[in-house]
Amino acid sequence: MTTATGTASGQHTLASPVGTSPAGWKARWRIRTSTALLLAPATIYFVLFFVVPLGVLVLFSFYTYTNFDWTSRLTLSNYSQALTNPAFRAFYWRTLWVALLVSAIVVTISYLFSYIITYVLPGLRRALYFLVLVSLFGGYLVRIYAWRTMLGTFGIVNKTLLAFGLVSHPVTSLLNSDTAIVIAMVNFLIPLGVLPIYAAMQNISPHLFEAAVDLGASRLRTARTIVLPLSARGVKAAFAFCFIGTMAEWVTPQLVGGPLNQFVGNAIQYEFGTTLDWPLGAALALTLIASVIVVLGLLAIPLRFVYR
Amino acid sequence: MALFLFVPFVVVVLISFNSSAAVQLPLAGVSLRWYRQVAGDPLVQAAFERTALAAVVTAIVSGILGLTAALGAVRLPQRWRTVVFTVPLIPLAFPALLYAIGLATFYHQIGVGFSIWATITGHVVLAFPFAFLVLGAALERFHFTLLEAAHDLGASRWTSFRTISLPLLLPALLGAMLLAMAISVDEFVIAFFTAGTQQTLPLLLYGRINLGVFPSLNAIGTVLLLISMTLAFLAARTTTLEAR
Amino acid sequence: MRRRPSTHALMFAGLSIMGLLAAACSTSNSTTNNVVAAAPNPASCKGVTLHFIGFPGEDGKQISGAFQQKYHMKIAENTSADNDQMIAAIKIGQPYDLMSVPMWYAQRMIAADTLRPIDTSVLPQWKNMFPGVAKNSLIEAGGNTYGVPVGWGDGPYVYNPKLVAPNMLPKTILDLLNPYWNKRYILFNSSSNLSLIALADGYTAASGTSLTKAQFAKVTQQGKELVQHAEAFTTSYSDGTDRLVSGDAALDVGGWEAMVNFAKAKGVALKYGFFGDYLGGWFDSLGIPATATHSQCALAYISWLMMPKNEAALASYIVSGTTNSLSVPYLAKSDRIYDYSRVDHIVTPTQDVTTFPDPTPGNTVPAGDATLQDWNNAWLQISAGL
Repeated sequence: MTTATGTASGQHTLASPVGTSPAGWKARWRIRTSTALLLAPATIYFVLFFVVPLGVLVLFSFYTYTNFDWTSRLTLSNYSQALTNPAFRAFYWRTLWVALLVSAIVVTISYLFSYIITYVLPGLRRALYFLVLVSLFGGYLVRIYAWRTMLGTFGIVNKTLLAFGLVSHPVTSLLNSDTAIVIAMVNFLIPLGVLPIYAAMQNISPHLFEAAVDLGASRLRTARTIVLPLSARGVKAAFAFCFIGTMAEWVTPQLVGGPLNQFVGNAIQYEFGTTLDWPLGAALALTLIASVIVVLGLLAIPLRFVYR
Repeated sequence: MALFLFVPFVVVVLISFNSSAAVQLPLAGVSLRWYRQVAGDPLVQAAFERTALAAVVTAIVSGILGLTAALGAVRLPQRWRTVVFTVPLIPLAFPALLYAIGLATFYHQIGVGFSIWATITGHVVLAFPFAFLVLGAALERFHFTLLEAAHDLGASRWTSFRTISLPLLLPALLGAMLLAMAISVDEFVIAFFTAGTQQTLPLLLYGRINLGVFPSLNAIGTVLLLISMTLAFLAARTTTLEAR
Repeated sequence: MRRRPSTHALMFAGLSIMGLLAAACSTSNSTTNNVVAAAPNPASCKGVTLHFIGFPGEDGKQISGAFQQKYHMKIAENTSADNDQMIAAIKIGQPYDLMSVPMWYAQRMIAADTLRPIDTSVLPQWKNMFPGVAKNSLIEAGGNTYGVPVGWGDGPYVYNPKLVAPNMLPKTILDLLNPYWNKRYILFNSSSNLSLIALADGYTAASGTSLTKAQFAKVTQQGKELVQHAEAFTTSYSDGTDRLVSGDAALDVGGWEAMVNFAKAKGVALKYGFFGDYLGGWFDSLGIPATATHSQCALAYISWLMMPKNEAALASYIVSGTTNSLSVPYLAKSDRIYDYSRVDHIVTPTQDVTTFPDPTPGNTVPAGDATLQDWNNAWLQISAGL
């Protein structure tokens, strides 16, 4: 899958001007109408089933909560709670830390993997890429439960460690901990990381690479000066996917995390469920989205300095 | 590293064949009893049918929306292209939990009930960007010269579309639709909030887990796994086939 | 930019926006709070499917085969919800005809307008129910009753005897703060755990749990330590069973006798015990949600379930005490886990439970005491690690 915003090789458009004569205007006008008509269904669907529901969520975040119910009186108290309650902030920092860690690990592994299958083992490229892509669709819940079975005190990992004499007692902190969350999330997110990075690498012209090698550059130097900058966009996309995916996660911490490893997503669930404070839940959700955008934006700045 | 990705799946599949009710490795023995149990369960059958329905409808709708949008987008001038190709990515980058809650609240506010159709609308929002991108990429490699030639030869716009564009786009369209099916079959969060009593297979799985983890769940999981992986694999094959 | 969008597209957009506005302004008529009354006659419910959401087994589906066949009705159960999700499901408008109403959630569910009041005068068996559950203020509000009790029990902890030394079994929940139990116990992610601590501290009366601010501060501090040393939060009784069976935990604070049966099916023997000072028990009721589409048929079904023989079967299936005093003779010997010798009281193995005190604060508390909101917020702080 190549990124559609990629290079302009062989790019034609039917919007080429056909002159400024009245006949030209008419043709342009017909093209524009048909373009609009073609874009209309998707746009309407998008607005109706994505933008409007979000609008409803935004509206809800301003409602007032009273005694397990809510009224449509507007208030800012939900946002002030979301931003000032120390519990939410604690959840938030905790989630942020794990999200950054997971994203860094996934991006590194995905990058190495994509690099290897593109330049080191090109023969296996298609097969391995398919393998990775397909693993994305293996299921969500059952996979997490598999980790629960594997990482437990009497699970297969501990049994193996004991059998090889690497530990004398089972490692009990594998499960119900940050470790388990990281392992499960990394396992799930690697395909999402490989996709954009691999696609970006495919778009780098092999001629550049060959030229550098001809000019005597070492492999490491080539990687650093050519491959890395040109695949930077893929790296950014991969990081963004992993970061967002982890920040919004709630099922994994609930199933394999410990009592003090719960994420912001779990707190949001708590508000939607236990206390029935939907307005607060909505405010928390929107604050989360805003903060994710801010963090990603902040992280992009130093990258922009380095890679111009 | 690719093997690491598949370790959980191997565990899931292995345990589904366990002859005892324990969800643990090593296996006590090998048996097909869980598959037999699952196959005879009417609730599983109903959920399976609903999941299949959702997948097919999602594929068709995403395919149509993706095709029309891609055809329209390819005619746009460059500066609009970047916008038009980034905006559909937002639902993908958007946290699924929050979108699901928003969609459910929206349906509640306008008084529409929850059903598999409500879930399908959410699935299309997730699948459409993929369809759009795949078809957009396919159109970029498109040979517009062919179209211009047909035009010069006097063919109407519709005829040239039907006889030239459509056959060339078919692999990409098929691939996009298969991808949409894979996404829908696997999807849990949106279904959780919008399917109501009409549970899909992942939803049934989640409910059953609350009754206690048994290898029968692994059997359901294995079936789901095989279906979505096959769909994804076929999708990948058909889209790259066209590239050659 | 397009000079003039197609008129078709405009019209379509305009119509959909108007439709949206109209729909948004109209009130949803899918919920109602009318009393469910009128003599329920199941014969008029042919072909109806009743949708149930709640705890496994409490819909009576497995024991009502004869009823379903006779009246051509079906029961479809959704057991994927825990307490919170059940309420959320109804609030969000999902249509269910029957719902589990756990005793300590009842007031919350009523306040959130998720239940319909039930006219108990049309239920022939209502006069035979044990008064401890039938005349219980927890399922009442504004003079109406909102649930029909189906089972009751006590609150044991469940443990794996292979992993626990017999002399280390806890006598109060605070015993779990002993280093022996570090990271070896699990509990529900719920503020009701604070009530167990309050009990251990001696702050609870038979009438319920209401703590002064000073008491509450001490209890929350102990709660914080309890959570810090726990192995995990469980999401359900079967989840707890799985964690005990797999050996990742040795003791589940929030237990249920039925977990022993669950584990036996997986080849592991569990045992239960009691925090010696635990005063209260629990009872669950069947309620009719505000979003019910077949409320009359649901009530007819409930009425059938309350008949002595059926109630006995239901209670045995969910490993609980029966709520109908006339059911006791129908219980198999092995299912008589409680002492029914006294008709006007309900007795558990450890103490005489007469009023099922609410483990969490009710809707109103004495001025200055911690409210339920305070409890929930405190628990949120605890699970945030603060």
